[in-house]
Amino acid sequence: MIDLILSRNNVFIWNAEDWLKLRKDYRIIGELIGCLPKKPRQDIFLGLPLLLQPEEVSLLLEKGIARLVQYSCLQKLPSDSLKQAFEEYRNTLYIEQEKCLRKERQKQVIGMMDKIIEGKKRKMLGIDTKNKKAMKSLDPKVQTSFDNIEINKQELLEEEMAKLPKLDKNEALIQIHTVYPWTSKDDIEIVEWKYPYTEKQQLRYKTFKDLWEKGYYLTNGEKFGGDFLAYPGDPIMFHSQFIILCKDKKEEIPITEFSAQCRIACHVRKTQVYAFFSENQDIKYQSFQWAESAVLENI
Amino acid sequence: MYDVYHPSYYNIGKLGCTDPIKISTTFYVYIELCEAKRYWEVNYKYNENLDLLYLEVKKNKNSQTEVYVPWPTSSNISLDMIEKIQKDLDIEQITLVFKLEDSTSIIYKVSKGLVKPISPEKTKLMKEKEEKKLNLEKEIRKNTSYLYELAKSLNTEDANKDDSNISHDNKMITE
Repeated sequence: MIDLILSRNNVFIWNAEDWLKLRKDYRIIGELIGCLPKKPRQDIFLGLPLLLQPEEVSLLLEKGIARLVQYSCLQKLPSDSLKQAFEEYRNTLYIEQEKCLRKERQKQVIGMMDKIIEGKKRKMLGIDTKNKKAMKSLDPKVQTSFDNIEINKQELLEEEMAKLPKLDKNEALIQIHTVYPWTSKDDIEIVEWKYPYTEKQQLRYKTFKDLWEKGYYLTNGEKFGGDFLAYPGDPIMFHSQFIILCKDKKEEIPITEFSAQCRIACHVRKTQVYAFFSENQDIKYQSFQWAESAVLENI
Repeated sequence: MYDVYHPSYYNIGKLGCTDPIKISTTFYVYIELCEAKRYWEVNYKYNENLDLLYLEVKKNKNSQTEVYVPWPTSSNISLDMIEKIQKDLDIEQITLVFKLEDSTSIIYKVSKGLVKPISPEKTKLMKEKEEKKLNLEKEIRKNTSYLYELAKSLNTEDANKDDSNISHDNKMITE
């Protein structure tokens, strides 16, 4: 069971596995609205959390795929024990980072060991250590004394490691959680979902459900002036085919509004579809396609 | 009404509809489909239940009959109305022709259910076909005077026999 998390009338998914499962198994797309931590200076690719449309929430609840929960503890100030747990967790991370830093440095030093030793020997014999001259081979006398110098590798390693300053707490990386990590079972409160409520919402929801059950992927259609966009496959691979607009069938549509809407659809190679309730409360559709083009007349 | 002389205008008016706007809109669409679009067959009809004037159209000799509904832009439209038209005329698809006051037409096909847009491959194919046709027409226009002379010379050579053939060929070209 997937937990949908309600906060201030918005429903979010904070967990990456849940996000993937909703998309792959249930064709629920929602909208990612978070900043990607590794790419914070762009807004083309967004990350968690995932904001769900109200219709998506209703559908997931109706189909028994998910439950709607709320963390009421998040509205209160953190308790002392939570503060302590938080401090401990941060401290553990700090200690782990410190260890990791030393390990990496050690690897580096060991990798460079031969070069460090050679440099040391040259210094001891008073030979120039500059790169250019170091390339030249030494004369045999110097070479023997050079070879005779013994250097303890272990000691040198320790010496080098000692040069590394301790990691300052201010410089340590800090983890920012996406999923709230401190929940206990008592914090999770199952809440009621009151959508769809009005007639218009009913129409939107029934339309969404009907199209979803027909196998389409649906996203919000606001950017094309509709209620939904319907895709034949995952929107990452397919263009949408329909702009769905929910209308009361008795509502009178001015021709200007109508032609504007249909023209947009035609320009972006989609069919403009109006969805409405029939007499027995089923969802019906009417598809509008431009027929004026000479090209299309041959169909 | 002195500006309208076409007999079809009066015939449309006699079908039973009394709304002058509907009558003139239907007439203008009728003329457009016959003259500008050169459709094979266009018939005006009237549905009493809906007080609706519409046109039954065959684009080519062998194409199926379609229903065109002339609609003045001054009146609004509702999905209910569209559904009623489809139901009363017992068809799945109608073509709405919105006639603007400057005589421009906006033509949309309305079909029951979900109709997928044409695939890009098919559009490409159709565009190519259309281009070919346009190029052919251009060639014919360029050579009109030559063809005219040719036709005339044939006429004088072999008077009655070829005459019918030529006019038939011309018809093929204009189609």
